Amino acid sequence: MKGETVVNTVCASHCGGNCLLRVHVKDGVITRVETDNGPEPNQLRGCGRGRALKQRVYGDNRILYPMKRVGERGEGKFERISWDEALDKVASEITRIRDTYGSLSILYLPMAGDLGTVHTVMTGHRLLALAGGYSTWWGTTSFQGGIMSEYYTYGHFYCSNSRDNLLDSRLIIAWGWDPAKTIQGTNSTWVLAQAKERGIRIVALDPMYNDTAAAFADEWIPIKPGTDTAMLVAMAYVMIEENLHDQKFLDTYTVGFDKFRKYVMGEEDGVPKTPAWASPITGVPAETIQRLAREYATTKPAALMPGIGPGRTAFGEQFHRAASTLAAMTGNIGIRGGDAAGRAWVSVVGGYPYKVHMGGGLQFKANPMEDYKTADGVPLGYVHPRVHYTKIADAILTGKAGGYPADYKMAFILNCNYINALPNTNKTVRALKELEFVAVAEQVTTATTRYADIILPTSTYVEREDIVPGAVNGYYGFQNKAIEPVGESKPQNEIGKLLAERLGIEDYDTMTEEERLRWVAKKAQIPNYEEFKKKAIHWLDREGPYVAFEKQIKDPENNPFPTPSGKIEIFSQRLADMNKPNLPPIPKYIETWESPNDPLAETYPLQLVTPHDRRRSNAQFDAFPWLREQSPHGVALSTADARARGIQHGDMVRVFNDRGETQVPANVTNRIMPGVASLSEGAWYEPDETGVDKAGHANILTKDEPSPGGAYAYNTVLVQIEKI
Amino acid sequence: MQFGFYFDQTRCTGCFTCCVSCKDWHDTPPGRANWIRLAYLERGEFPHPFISYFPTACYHCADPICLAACPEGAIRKEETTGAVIVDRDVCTGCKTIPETLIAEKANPSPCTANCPAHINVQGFVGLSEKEKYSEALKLIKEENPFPAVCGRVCHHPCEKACNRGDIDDSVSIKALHRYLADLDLKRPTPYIPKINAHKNEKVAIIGSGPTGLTCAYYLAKEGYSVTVFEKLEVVGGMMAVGIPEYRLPRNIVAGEVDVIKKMGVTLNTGVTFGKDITLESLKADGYAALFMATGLHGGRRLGVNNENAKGVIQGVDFLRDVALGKEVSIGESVIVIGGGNVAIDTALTAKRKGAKEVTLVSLEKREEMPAWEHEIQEAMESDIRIVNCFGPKDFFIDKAKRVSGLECKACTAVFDADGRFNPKYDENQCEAMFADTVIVAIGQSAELDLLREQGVPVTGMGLDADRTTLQTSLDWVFAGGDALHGPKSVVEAVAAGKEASISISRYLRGVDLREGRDRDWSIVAKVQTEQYHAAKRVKMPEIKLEDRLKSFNEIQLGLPDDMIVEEAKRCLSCGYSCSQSCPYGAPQFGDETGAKMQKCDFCSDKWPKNSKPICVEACPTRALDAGPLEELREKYGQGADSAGFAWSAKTGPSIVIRPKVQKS
Repeated sequence: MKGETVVNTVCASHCGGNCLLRVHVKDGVITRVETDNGPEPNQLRGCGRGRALKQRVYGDNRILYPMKRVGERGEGKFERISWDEALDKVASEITRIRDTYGSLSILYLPMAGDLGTVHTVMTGHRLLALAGGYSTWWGTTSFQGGIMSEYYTYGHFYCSNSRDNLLDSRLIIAWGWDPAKTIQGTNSTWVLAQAKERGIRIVALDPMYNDTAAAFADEWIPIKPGTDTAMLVAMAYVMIEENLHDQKFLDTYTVGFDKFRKYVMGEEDGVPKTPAWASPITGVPAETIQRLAREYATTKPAALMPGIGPGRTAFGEQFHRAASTLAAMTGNIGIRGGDAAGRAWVSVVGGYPYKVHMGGGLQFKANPMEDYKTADGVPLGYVHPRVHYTKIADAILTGKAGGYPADYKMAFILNCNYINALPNTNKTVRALKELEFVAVAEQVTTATTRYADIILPTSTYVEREDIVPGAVNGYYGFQNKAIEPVGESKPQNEIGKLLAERLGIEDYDTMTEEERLRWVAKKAQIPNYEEFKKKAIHWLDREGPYVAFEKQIKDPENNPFPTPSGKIEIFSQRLADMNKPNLPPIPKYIETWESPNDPLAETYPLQLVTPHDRRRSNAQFDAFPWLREQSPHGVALSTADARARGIQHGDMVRVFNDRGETQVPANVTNRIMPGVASLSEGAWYEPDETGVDKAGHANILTKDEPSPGGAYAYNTVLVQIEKI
Repeated sequence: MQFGFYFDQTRCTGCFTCCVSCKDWHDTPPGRANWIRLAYLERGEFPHPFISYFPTACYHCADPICLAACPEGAIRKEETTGAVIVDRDVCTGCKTIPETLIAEKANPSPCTANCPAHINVQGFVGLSEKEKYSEALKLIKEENPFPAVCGRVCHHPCEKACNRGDIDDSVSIKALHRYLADLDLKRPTPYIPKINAHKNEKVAIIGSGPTGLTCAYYLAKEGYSVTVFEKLEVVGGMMAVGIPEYRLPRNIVAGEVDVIKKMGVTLNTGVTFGKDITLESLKADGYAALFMATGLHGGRRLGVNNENAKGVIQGVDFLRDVALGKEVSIGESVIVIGGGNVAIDTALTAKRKGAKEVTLVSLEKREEMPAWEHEIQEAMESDIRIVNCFGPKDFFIDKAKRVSGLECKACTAVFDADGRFNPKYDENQCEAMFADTVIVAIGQSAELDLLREQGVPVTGMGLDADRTTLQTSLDWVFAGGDALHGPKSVVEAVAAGKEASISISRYLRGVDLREGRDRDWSIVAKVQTEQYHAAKRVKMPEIKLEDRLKSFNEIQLGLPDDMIVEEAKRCLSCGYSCSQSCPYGAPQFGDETGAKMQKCDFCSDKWPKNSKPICVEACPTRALDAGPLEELREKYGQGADSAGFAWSAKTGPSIVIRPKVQKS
């Protein structure tokens, strides 16, 4: 189109992918979007979500001006105010609450949202740390089970190989791993398509025949939610009993296998964890468990790819710990075509060992309220006096009287659709209504902005600049500014600077935007800043696929694992020292709460899973009409369960338990196990006057109880479904 | 040059990036218009489901039927790429009235929906209005190989459904249909459809009625070798030996059959299935599929005393003998028993064969008679006495054991409370009637003995096959037409033959027979009738009443040339012509008022810049490609079928497919 310029940028919308977008701009307005059309094999193609960019930037729900609440909190009535008024109000409330109740009464509630190094959650952390301190949460919502396991097993979170490594595999086990929906690294599905065409066998495990399984898997093994660890443990049993495990690998690189062996073989508790033991628990035939165990043990290299869904259960840490243990037993760690089976989805934390990680664009400032010495002897991520994110609502409602470290009076919410993202929405809503002040910084009106007193409009990634590491694949992306901020929106770091000014903080950020980005690029060791900015992609040098722990495996003498023992810790002394119930030092299967054996199952007989949706990234993108029309929301229900309830495909149904109710059309399908229902998370909460959600918002049903290792139990939920 | 798409279904995850990037690139607002729609298919039971996707766009067909169907000439085919492009300045949105709800106009026109063959009526009437008569005829022939026959004998449900009827009278669709077909047959070389590339498989068809011949027509068009076997010495089934000549002149049937011959179909007459040929012999002769369309050529017996007497004959036999030019002697007075179309035809034919007095005895009340109203009217105009509410009790015979009349008893009710045929009589109320000949025309039956011997699946009534796919329990044998469905009209026979051709083609290509064949035609386009002025419906000229019975000359004369445009103008253009013809639903209409057609333009603007359509460049799994069709075929093979893709022989879609195959 005449007069159009093309600006290269990357979309990094919390899906684990960072994809090149070529944004066409005319007269300061985005006209259309292309993706990477450079030479293969390094094209970084975006998905439909990224391609709907215009609706993110120019959507009807874009917040154009600072707003203040005029009705009751939650009523959704706002009026436009000036930036001065908005910033003065937020700064004065921070000061008032700090001075009246103490710094711990200020809750900072951010999440990943847009990913980058500068305009991220770190802006609020730095600001509030400099303002005297604050309270916040611990426990990474997406994959606390995964990183906790990676940390105690391997010593850090950088356990993932680059995706092209899968092309060297002979067997790929996609365990609750669905990159066709969740991206999990740009080109993940492209790599799987090529793997399939090369004849690499792909086995998928999931209660649902997910999009990845449907497109690429040679075999689908349906498995009951929350029981994956039982199957992994039984696979270990088969390997041990048939002497298929790599004892030399275990002797050389691991500690504690013998303790795990004793548990598996029943020497510890008298229960041998045979396939026959696991079969009724998992719903997987014993022969299938045995066959997969033999196949994984004898096909080398093989990549066990543990998605984060199975870890988003009660005791979900154990799934990742068991998966990594199997990777060690089969000697698939640190080799091409294998995988350490830590966690097959990384976005904010982990992946390729970059020099600068997400949020690393601002200097770290410790929160003076937090005692970092407490970080030992407690699960990873916990720092006193943080509260697990699932418990924040409870903490607001009960405070010190409820045993929490403080009485909470205000919340500053950034990069986070808090209401949508956390479990037990009805409690979250009650909690937000209790606070004296709620400020939300957002791009668009969400379920959460409805509960704000002040809304600060933030700019999208095409309205400012940032640098983004490429998750698993070893490159950095540059987010160029394609257009001026829409409305009066401002980039997050600028909001941080303006609030800092008002709070009398001088050293929040003394650099200009360009100085800051050059500082990041230098830290990232990107040699040519101008070229990087122009192309928007900088590939890091590597010969072939990046393989985590390659050095440790090739030369263990000189490259110990960063664990206390220097080895892969199948047995973790650090976990043993914590002495926490249900957080054993070796991976174990522990039956979840709200399992089909729970007496509650008589009232709520269906196990609900709440996976990501193909047209959302968590709660992002939910309102985009172009995406909504492509994939209508619904609760997936097996044909058998639907028939028993007189439900036809497309009927409106109520999905409910004691925590809440949501109403949504039924998607009756043979793709899901009988006894299981699937309602993807992220649909924007829309309560009616009775508190029933009309949007199919899953977290109105989930339980606000963390696993002992901090994992979120989003997939451990019992519900009933009825036709309306 | 013809460019095309390539789609690797095995790589598609259903992520709809193609759809969204297309909407973004062409700035298509959210809503109705989607240039690419992702068709989702789920088959199979837990735990072995089969899932596939198909991006349904425009396939820039070799013979774009949308182009043929557009009365305005708004659609063209680009020479450089073969892209099918719509000129939105020329498109009128099929004369959309600004206030029309697009949601309603996007539905099929009621005429098309109600036509068993689903002819694009709006399209051919629109083309007629522009005097594009040969184009209009071609459009009809996409859906019906017998437009001249149906232009005469169709029961025209299209007209009953016509929205124009709410203003004054429905458009005279049948008459226009006939005009176009007659015009074509009068040409030195009537239209012969393009035949697709030759295919190796041979198909045999038993029965040369409208069902069998229609099936032959479409399979031949697809490139198959088709042989039709006919028991009689004449071709055409009931069109030749059932419907009287004064309704359907034989040269008309012959003219339309001739087109089918010219398409390469072999017609073998005087061949009886079960005697001259068998299932085994056909298989041995290399036929890969067989279609049984044997019709209903037997009569039905009354089960009344003396029914076998001389002078009691069956209506279907009588009509056939007359049609074949055999000598018939019926005397001066004739009684016809029956209330259906065959009974009426029999009565009128008897009149023409010299009977002075013809009485039709019908069990049903006048308004219950199964014959079509216009045929009853014609019978009454032709001096046929109709006696309602009586049924035969006994035949009278003379000394020579020849029939001399019959005793009838009053029928008090034909149907029971559930609407089933279950006549009740008053045995005390009887009436005697006398005649030289009694013709029984109370129904038709299939002649099944030879079929049964062959092991062709039959029921007590006729052939036995799946009602949707027409496949019998012998997988290579299909069955349809009257022998399966019971007595129906010609257009219904055409519809059955067309369905059979689709099934047989799918069977030969190894494609699911059932998929996508459950289209619901119940929702149709509505119009705001207050926007239109009344305009008088044209009247079909006929030969004078007094001349009718003198010969078998055709009664209806056809519309004169100068009435065609005027009558065609009466059409309200209820729906969209292009979208009613496109088998892939490519033409799209937005939600805005006065919407004009839009659809995939093959990103024609991107080709010169050495880039490919936006969907191709967008696909995260590289499942799409585009380029010169021949190059694509060289690179990716000849694949043209896959799950979820409603391939149609009509148009030659420019797409190469690598299908996803369901594991057995």
